[in-house]
Amino acid sequence: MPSFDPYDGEEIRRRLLDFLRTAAGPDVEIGPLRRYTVGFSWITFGFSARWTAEEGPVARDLILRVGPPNGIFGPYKASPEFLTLKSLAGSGVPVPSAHWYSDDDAILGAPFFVCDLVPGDAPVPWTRDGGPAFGEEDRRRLGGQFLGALAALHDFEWRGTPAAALDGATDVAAAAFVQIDEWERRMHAWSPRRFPMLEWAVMWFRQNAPRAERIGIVHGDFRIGNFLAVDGSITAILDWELVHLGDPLEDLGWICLQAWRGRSPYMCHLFTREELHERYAALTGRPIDLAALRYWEAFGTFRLAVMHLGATHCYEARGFNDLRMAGMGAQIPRMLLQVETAVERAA
Amino acid sequence: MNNSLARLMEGIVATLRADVIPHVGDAYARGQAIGVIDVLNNIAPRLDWACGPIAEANAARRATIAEVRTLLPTAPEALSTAAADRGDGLSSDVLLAERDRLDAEIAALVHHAFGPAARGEVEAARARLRRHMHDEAALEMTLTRKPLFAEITKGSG
Repeated sequence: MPSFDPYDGEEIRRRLLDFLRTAAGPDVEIGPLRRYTVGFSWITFGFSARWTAEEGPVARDLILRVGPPNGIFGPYKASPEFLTLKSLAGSGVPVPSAHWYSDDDAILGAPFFVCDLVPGDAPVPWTRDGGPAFGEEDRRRLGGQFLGALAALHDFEWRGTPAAALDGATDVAAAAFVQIDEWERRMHAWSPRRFPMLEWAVMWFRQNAPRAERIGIVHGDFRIGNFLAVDGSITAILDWELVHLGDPLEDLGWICLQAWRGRSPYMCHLFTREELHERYAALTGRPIDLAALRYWEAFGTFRLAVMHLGATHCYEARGFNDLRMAGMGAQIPRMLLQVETAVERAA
Repeated sequence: MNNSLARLMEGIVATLRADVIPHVGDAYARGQAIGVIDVLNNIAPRLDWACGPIAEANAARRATIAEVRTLLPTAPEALSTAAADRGDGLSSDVLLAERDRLDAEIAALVHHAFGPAARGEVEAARARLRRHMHDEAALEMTLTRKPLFAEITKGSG
């Protein structure tokens, strides 16, 4: 039976090297793995590699991302993120170059992909005093780039690319219902305890589901914390594990969640709601349906609450010892009140 | 809390053993971390969730169910009957199982009350359910501390 021990770096490196000898070439050499502490879900390692490609010798700093079997969204597949990164290469969305992937548990013990290491730090939404994450100049500059990347993603012509194979909805009338079904399924899978507040929210979402104006690639977790920046410039959009086809407004609603701004008046610490509406509309040429946006913000809040149930479940029942998961489990009452407020605002 | 006490203790000890202690450079600090494990191992068998607040919350759930059933006479019956849990002599396991049963019944009432088949004093029933859901979460929030995600992410206090 495949197994994956994230602490056994030597064994992971040995298996990775075996895989790369076939994927990259028999002369491939890789350095030691360095585990990064970022992320709540996939496990990230950095390493250097040398191999001979068709164009000649290559030396790169690379990232290995592995979806642990007991992680919050397990069982994972690497193919959606890999196909998306491949599709978006060279587009207006800054993404790392993706090299190899496998959904076969037999190779590393869990699905994985390898992409380029992109320089930068990932600013996080949680500040010690709940105050701003950025100075005014960085806020404006990063906010513009953040929305530019989002607009480029939503305007990307995915039909005819590998991304057309992504899960989700291609029917504008079904986009919301596909997401409701998916997250209701996860809610019940992750929590034998029923939460009446969440059941009430699901009913409201079904009764008020908007029709999408178009279908695009939805990142699924587009927010502060999931981009890299150097000197006030975004170098890459990361963490595509929840990518799917659907209503692009879903990403905009997610950006507006209370959880990503603390006490800051700025969504994701980057822009006001009004700035978000105006700039996105200007970039895409599509005015935002504000009622639909409030719907997706409420749905995103529900989705985040369900993720907290997933964190509770992977800690309780799947042997995942990351104490951040137990910490998220302790915050479920806060999430229930945020869901209530968000649905009331949308209603 | 939504994780069981036993699992929380087990995970804390495992994290200290696998993720923390091997990376602590100072011998005294390592010894103190092992001391934390020693203390946790000894207090774990003596710990249980406080039963009084769970029993009180269950009483609030029963009151809500009774009121809503009065307002919605055609609401579907509960799948099983409620057990008495006055909190005296009951373990938290029994009380939490009853909490889950009552929450499932309230969830079923929510589905009925907010659905098209509800008959009776529907708006009053909906308001009562909404009040219950809010009050329960607000009460739980009085026991919930602000998350330390900023410090966890940065790895410093």
